[in-house]
Amino acid sequence: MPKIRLQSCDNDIFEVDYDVAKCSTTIKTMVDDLGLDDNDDEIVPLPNVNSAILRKVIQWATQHKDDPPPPEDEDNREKRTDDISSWDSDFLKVDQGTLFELILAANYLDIKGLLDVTCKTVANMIKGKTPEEIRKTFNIKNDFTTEEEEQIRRENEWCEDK
Amino acid sequence: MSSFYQLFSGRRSSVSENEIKFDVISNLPIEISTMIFRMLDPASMLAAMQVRKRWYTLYKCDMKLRRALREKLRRQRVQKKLFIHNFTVSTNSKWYKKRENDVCGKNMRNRKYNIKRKCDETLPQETNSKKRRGLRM
Repeated sequence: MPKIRLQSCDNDIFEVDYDVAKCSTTIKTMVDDLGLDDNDDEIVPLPNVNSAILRKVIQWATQHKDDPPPPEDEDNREKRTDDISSWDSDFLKVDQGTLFELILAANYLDIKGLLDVTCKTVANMIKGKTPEEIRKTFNIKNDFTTEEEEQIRRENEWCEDK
Repeated sequence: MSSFYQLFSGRRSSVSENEIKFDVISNLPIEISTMIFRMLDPASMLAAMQVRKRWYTLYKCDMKLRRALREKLRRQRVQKKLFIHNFTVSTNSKWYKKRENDVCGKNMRNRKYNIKRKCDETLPQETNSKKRRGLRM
């Protein structure tokens, strides 16, 4: 099985199977277009991903390398967020900084499955909470004035009307 | 982007294990925060837009998100009204027709009357069976 060498932004080199690396559409396209797999000395530079995050991404991709490609989304349908596998939810028990960087990496590397599951994790952090509880979760300061708050409440009055 | 990297990786090493909390939504690229918002149910979306100005703007700027939310809420309301109506209000009451117009507008009306008629048809049977069950018990 051909191996591919990936270089993180802090210059660490990771050797991974092509099967694992091709989870990332970005890497797959690069390798397919340039035919890097013919030449062992080539290194794929990933200047937007640091070693810690790249290690996590490779760990995820190794676990999911045999998954079927995720289906295309319908835009208007509300997505389920409670269908995260137990392996994934354990994998994503990380601090918000790591989760944030994983989302950016999944987006940059174009790994749809990972992007999906990380976004669902963030959505689950918001779901079923009051605005104040959400602020506490993300350490956010309320920057609305009382009038603005009142205005939004008035805008939304029609949907709370019983 | 690289500045974010330095910011967060730097902070993490200095604060150690004390979990860092920060506004993930506002710091992500817009298309991703919108994607996350689209995963929310109506009630959570309503709460989310009241969190912070930036979140409110993210919601306001996304036409699809706004339309989807309005549609879902409207549907929920119609279902709720129909449910209440089945138990309390007569189909032909002026109050009901007026509310229906307010909620759905003209386009939704025909479709809804059909649903309503179905509900009316099933209602007597349901009460009968309930009565029967009650008698048996």
